[in-house]
Amino acid sequence: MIVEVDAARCEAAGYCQRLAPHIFQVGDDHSEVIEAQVDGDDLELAEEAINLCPTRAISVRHAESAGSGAAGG
Amino acid sequence: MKTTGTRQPRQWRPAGKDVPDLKAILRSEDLWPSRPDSEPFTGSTVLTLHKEAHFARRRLEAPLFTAVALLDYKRRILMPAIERHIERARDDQRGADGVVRVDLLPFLRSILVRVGADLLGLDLPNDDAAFERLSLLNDKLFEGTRLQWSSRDLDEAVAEGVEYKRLFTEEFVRPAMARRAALVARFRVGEIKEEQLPRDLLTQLLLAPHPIDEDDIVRECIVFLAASNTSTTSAACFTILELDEWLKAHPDDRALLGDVDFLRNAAMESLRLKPPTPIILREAHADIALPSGEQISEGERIGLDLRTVNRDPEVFGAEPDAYNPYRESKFHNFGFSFGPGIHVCIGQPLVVGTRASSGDPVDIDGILVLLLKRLYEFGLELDPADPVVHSPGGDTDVGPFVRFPVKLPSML
Repeated sequence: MIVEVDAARCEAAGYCQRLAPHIFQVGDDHSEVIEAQVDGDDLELAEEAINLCPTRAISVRHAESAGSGAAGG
Repeated sequence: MKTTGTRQPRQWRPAGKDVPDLKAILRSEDLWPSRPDSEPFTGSTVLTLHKEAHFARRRLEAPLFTAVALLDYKRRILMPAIERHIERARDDQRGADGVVRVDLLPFLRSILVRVGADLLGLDLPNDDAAFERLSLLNDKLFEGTRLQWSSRDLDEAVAEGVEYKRLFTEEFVRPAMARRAALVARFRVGEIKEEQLPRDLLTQLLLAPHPIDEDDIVRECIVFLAASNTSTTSAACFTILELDEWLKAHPDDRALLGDVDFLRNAAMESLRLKPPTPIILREAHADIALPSGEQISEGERIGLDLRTVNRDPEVFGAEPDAYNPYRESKFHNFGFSFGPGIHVCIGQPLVVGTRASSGDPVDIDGILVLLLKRLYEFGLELDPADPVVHSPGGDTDVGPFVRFPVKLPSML
């Protein structure tokens, strides 16, 4: 699975980095993914990060659905 | 604000001049939330905890605000509560001229206290008396969470609030907590599965890896109940006031009052200009230099005025002081009103909703928009014969309005 951060939504609250610093890193204005491929325990952490994120900026998708993008909004 | 009591709230000084300063303040690990006057009501809660303890609490409570949870609250609690109170107004509050008139403050509070009770897990019977009692206690306890802005003698206000907290604990929290503790105990020994546990605050707090004191649980309940109720009520009222003025100048937009997108933008613009918590208070635990060059010394207590940063033309465009539901901003249209940063309001998705993404497949409207839409379907308008009464303390008062009468002329 691939984890992504929507930079336009992210407010850099930093929960994702605190939860999984090996996957997420907070920059000046938004978080970035430093380890996009997640499986096993890391996938669980990424899924928890989705719910922790106050702006719903994080998502995970199957690797083969690259470019499918967001549903809207 | 002038105070009249013998013990007054702790002092603070304004800090932060612009958006870069705001981001620095709200993201700083060395600026801790500061509500010492309200310690018996907000201490050791998600509002005031910091660093690891705060993160642990947010982690515990995050399942209450997933997309699935938001949709569940809307379907199971919010919409039935709205309809129940509309029916009651239709039956009981029709004047001699046939027009239904309601004071929106008790009307919205009655709806929102039902949502809050469910969010907490209070298991109330479906009778009005229990909700009216909870609503009364919530009003009193909310005052306890806002003592910084109180004009009363603090000792007297705290003593009164503590007594209401005792009643809230005994009548509401303790019985519900006992039922949930039994369920959590059964879950821990494998008798039931996690998905069989109720999804509410009390259950989440009882699932904490390290037990949380009853008083801390009660305070968390106070904070959640107050926030889910009063902020949304004032945001809805301010939106109605702003829209009333806007529609006088733009009468064609009256046709858009049934349009969810228009109402969402109208509500967000109102939240930008009138944040429910206008000033965010922090206490410095180290010397800090803000991007503007302003220095904050360790031990200082500062206040960040969101009404100022929410009017930064660089972010919110031309004429930032003006209400404009068509505004296009570089940030959320509601500005920084939910305190983006480490302590961003955990209930933000519940109030303003979420937009579809690859993580959440559908738009979820927040409580604020859903309430406004339903009210405007009944032709909501202000009543010139019975004007809105503002609180004497202004936006930072315990509540910004004393009365908010409206007419619902299309409610047949």
